[in-house]
Amino acid sequence: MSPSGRRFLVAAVLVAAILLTALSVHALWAPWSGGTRPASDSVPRGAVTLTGGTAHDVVTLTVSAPVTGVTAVDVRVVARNAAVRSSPVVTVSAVLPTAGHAVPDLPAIRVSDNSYHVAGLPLMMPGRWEFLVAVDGDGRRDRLVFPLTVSP
Amino acid sequence: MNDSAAPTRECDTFPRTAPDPRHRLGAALAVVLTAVALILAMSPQAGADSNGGGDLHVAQTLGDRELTVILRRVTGVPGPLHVDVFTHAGTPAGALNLAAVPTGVSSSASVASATGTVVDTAVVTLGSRPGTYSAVLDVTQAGPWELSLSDGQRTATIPFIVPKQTTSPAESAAYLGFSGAGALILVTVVVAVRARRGWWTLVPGGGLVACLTVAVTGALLSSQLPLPPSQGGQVDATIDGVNDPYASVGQQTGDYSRPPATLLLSSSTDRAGEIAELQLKLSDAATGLPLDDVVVHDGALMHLLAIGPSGQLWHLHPVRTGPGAFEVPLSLPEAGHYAVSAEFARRGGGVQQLRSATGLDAVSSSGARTTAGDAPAQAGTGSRTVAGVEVRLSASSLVAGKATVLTARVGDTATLQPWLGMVGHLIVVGPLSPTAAVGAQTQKAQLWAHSHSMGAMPDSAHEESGTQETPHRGPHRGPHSSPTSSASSSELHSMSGLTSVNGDGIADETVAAYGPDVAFVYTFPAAGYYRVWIQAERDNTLLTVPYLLHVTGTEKTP
Repeated sequence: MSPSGRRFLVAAVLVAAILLTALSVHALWAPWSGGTRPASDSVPRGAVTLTGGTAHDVVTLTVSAPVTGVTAVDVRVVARNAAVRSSPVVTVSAVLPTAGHAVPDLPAIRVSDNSYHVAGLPLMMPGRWEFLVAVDGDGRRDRLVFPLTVSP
Repeated sequence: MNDSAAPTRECDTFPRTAPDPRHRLGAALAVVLTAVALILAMSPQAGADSNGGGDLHVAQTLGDRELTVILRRVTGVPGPLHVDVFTHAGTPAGALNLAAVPTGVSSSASVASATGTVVDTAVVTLGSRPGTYSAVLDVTQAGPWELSLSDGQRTATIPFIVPKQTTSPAESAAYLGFSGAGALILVTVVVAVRARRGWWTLVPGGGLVACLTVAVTGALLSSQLPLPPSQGGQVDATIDGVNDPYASVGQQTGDYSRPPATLLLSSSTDRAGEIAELQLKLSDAATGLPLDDVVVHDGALMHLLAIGPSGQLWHLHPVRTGPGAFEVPLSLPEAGHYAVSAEFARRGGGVQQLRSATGLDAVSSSGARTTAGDAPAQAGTGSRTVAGVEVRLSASSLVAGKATVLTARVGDTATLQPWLGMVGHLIVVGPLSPTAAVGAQTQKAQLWAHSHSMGAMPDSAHEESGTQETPHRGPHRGPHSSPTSSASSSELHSMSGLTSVNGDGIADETVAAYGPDVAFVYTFPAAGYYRVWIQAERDNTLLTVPYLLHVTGTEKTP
């Protein structure tokens, strides 16, 4: 075997071994290190953005700090039908079903065409919370549930 | 084929005369690429079906139809969702409109863009003959969904999960490790043969050992690491959670249970002789919010038991019309009090049985009947004929605090069909006065119980004592049963459960191969008279057989 061929062979073997080892370690450890949720650049670090929908609207919820304490919440409501509609009234609440804790209904303040903001929503303990977003408008009331884990 | 094989033979024949390093590099790269391909092929996206789920059976009382809706397992997305609608004797013909709606939320706006909208519809045309009527809908993604059924007047929604086949991290590590080890064995052999210096073999050899270590560790851990919480069953399902339950594990806890619920009952009418539309609203007992986490339990979202003034029992399955809202029509054949109880299970575990504190009082009207003979006047087991089928009930000693075996022989042939996943159902209400109006008595009875039967009980499992109400057992035995034999093969077969032939899920109502003996084991906690109803399905007809039993006080030990 020529020296160059040997080098190529060794390099290939090394790369394969490193690759396989790294992939195996990653597969074993990554899922247990906690999920990372993508968030857009416009939201605070650590914020979580979830999107859901009804037959009439696409609703995006951004929780600035999904940890125990008080957090800001932003809601974006985009009508599926492009036709002009009156601005809905958006209310945000939250419950921790396993403990039976509930947060009062907090009216979201409209900050732009389809964006709404709640300054302080209290999350009293960690757990699997449900954020409840009610969209009232056009003679109907849609209610969406956003499950979200709140950390200590 | 020949063209590709020729160079290989040449290479095998003259290995030392073609020392072109490019060929060796190509061989090495081929090995590496093969290993990578193996790894990718065995990645979690195509792994074992650890989250495959099974068929979902949901009984629905939709108007005057008692239906069993079966959502067959979805094996891949996008793909078909097969929906079977099983009808019973007397179900009116007609059309049902089906619609599939994805629900849930996701961190990806594009994934969640279709949630809340109807993505596919189908029509099921029900015939007048009982049987299975099918439709196919397309589902586009894994995650939580809702299936709506409409008969034109009412619309029922059934939440369900379209699962994704996933593999646990430990299993992935085992697959990856063993795949890598297999590839590195080849590499090691090649290096050992080709390399002039032996220590080069240590490089792939080290990788081989590392891969094996990872694989063995993953294999050992795979059986010991806890499973992620069930999406939709234990925790609220999200699209992300269903697609990758291990990434959404979060804080591990062993208790997912939720607070009790409250039941509000209202009726569209209180006039006897009419059909009342019952509205049932479930609320969380802690927050008062609508309870929208009811999961399918024993083949239905909700089991509603209603007992009429003269002892008629209804076992209905209200349809979900909204968050925490259920509806069901209830016939009010006569004036008097109707006691109502609901059974359901919340997400996170725990079945709840809520008795309406008020029940329903029906006032007399011209259409009401004045006489009723649904409730037996005299206590005791024995024979009853319902819908042309003779039912014979026997019981072991009816003593409070002692396990009683109630065995009903429904007809004479093993042609019972499992209803709600069980061969038989036993409803027990008491203690109560044997002579007073049944509806009012059951409303204030201390005990409502609902027990199930998986078939007959082997003879050796119990001895019947021949109480006053169970004079002897002889007439209850069929000609094929030997009184001296122990558990017969048919009885043992009955006790083996309702597993379908392929072992995947439970047998459904299309399998008429159970019984005729249906045994229940129930311990009456107190002495007194009890109203008892036994339910079983035969010839696509649900049979409800009422009895009045007298349970004596606890036997004194000498």
